[in-house]
Amino acid sequence: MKSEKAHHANEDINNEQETPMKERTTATTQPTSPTTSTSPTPAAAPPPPITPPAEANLDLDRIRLPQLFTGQVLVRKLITTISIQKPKRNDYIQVHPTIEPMPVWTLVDEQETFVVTGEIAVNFPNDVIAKELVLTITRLGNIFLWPLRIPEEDGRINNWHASAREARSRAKNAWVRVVSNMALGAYEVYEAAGVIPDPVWPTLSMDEIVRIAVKGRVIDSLDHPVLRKLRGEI
Amino acid sequence: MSLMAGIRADFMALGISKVWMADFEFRSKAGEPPEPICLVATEWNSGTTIRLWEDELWREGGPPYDIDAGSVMVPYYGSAEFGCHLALGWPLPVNVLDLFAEFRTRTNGLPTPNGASLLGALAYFGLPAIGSERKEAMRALALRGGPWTDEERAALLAYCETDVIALAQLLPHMMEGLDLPRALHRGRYMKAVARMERTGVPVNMGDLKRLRSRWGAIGERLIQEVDQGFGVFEGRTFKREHWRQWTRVHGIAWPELASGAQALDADTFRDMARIHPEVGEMKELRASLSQMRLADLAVGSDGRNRTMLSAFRSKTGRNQPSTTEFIFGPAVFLRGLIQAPTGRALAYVDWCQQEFGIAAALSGDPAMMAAYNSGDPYLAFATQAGAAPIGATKETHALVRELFKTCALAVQYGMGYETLAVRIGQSVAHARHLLDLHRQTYPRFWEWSDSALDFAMLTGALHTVFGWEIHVADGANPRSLRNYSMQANGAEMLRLACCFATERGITVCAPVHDALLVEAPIEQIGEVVAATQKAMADASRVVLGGFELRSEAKIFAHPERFTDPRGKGMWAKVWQVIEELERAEEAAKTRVC
Repeated sequence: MKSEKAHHANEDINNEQETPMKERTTATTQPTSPTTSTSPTPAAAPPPPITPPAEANLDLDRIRLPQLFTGQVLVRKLITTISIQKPKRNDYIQVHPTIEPMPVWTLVDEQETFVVTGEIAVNFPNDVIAKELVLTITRLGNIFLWPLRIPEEDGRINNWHASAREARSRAKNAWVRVVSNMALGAYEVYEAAGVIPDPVWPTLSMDEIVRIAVKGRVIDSLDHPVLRKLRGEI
Repeated sequence: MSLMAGIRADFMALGISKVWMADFEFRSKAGEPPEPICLVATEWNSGTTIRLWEDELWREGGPPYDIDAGSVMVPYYGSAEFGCHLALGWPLPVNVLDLFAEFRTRTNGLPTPNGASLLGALAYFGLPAIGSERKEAMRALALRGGPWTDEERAALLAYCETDVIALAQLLPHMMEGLDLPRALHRGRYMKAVARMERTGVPVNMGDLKRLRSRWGAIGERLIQEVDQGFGVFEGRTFKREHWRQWTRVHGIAWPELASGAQALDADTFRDMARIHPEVGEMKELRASLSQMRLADLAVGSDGRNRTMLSAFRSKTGRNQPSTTEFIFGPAVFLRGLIQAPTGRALAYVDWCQQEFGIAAALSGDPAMMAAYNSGDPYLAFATQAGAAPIGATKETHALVRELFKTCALAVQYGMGYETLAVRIGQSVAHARHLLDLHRQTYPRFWEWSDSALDFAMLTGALHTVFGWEIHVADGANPRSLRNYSMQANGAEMLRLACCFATERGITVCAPVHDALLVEAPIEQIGEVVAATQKAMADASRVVLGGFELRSEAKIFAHPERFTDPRGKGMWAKVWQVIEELERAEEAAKTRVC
């Protein structure tokens, strides 16, 4: 029942049958090494001879399992929170190049942006501002809505708003950082150099995005606590 | 189809008709190759059983069972059986189904109350087994060595047969759900392990003897020497309050535990020594004192360090040899004892940035693959992230490179902002920014890492390219799971490289994490290094679906010692102490004369 190795040579490296290396027995010369033995005592013996064995006849490419786990289990990221905010000074952002911004009436209370209905806007002309919500994304793939002031009917616009709109325009096809410069009285725009991958936008529609973003932030009644606070009732 | 018929069909699908379960009893002195005493083997289909005593084994001239491609040998941790094959000059079987490796992957990450020994596996499946006391008694009898009485021979053979019977009982349970082709692939590695365990790592016996005979005194002197700059020891005791004081005086923000006590584990010392090199000597001293029991270092009479490599022992499937028996244990300076025999050379061949390369290839992140292929992935990362200009070099942007290297490694180990901040010695905000840059630069890698984590948490397991599996228990650490693919596929790569190298006739002394220590006559070492690098490149291409990892080699020709820069300072100190002690002994002798 004694059997020698018996399997087939294959061009595949998995079953490569190279001629096994054999140690030659020619005389060796002593090296001249800078780091030498600490003691003159004998070193170890050479290793015991071992005959290379036969290899298992397995096609490794065939038994290799995929490691791309994407799609193997169905997981999708649900976007449940979208903020309405200005870009943070250290974040590189892009705005969606084709989705049109959503014009809304906004009212800011303690740094929180609320969306108000047209009926309410008429009643609070000094507090409500017309803005458009621009779909924006960071390099880490987080989306938010950037509220940008809509110019007055007479076309007047200050430097802050004008520079913000300019930044938005640049951010349609480049990664930019928008930084306020108080001394200048305007935003400065830094554009990233080099080749940076384009953003991956979520597949939600603008309506869905706005609905998620304004959840809990819509003022559609004169009894809303924010309005009552404005009127000095609470 | 009956269970037996089903198992037969599984084997037959791979052209295997004979299933041999085999077990050797052998003597195994520390550092020496095994000396076979007896063998029992049973063919599973026919029930044919072979029982051979020591003298009969030698007379056989080869295995008394089939070892060709149409048969499979079924051991439990087969490197022991194959070690006996090699001792007897027998060839190794083509196919191996190692039930230890399969039990480990089946239960990896799950509780195994009785461990992963053969008895533990039997208990896991509720199968009967001989008592552990009898097993120990029989092992002691084998270790005692001959001559054995007739009764003792009969008892040893009968004991040997109980292990074969146990294998026969275990096999049907293990075959259920067994991934046979990949199991045979794992079995292949056990043959490589046997060859490496037999070869061993050559050490300078004279120096080992000098170290061993004076180790007690050396320990005390080392404390005196090293502690001069710290003042934290009282006698042989490391005093926590003194260490707190020393770190405070030197302005080092040492990590603390939730209790408020300073973290004094080896990992913390290692991390802090990287940031504050002045801590390095204390780190090495503590490792030497706590982990180095020189008496346990397993060196045979031929001056070669041999120990069980404990294949498949760690969760990632890496080897886990005893830290005290293996020369590549944690006391790094001890590696200075490694020296090729006269006329021979050693080469330490390791993959360059193996984990980075694995992450790049398996995730398919094009930027990450480009960074690896640049030859300096860390500098490439800095350039891709815009922190270094195109054309920057290791010399012109050393600090930036180091920072991005630390960040890349931090990601591989799932490090958070706070830990990275400590590692780089900068603010948490800075660390957060660095990690964000990694996410921005390698989005596909992160998508892959996220999906691997989702896969593990939803299916309860994660596997490597050859099916080494980790089972996810409650409370699993997501950082470990993210790191698993890099580590465990790195282990697959190393195992395959060991197979390729040993099968191609390369003398591999030992695998060391992501490296191979190989040996050859001095005039052949260049050729052997090239062949080793080819074996490692081939293994990387197989594991990574065609992506090749580079490797680099350091050669130590006799009488040059193996050196590891991390242990160089301590090595020099130890020998300074030994020489002083020896001079003092000589002087004392002279006075007596």
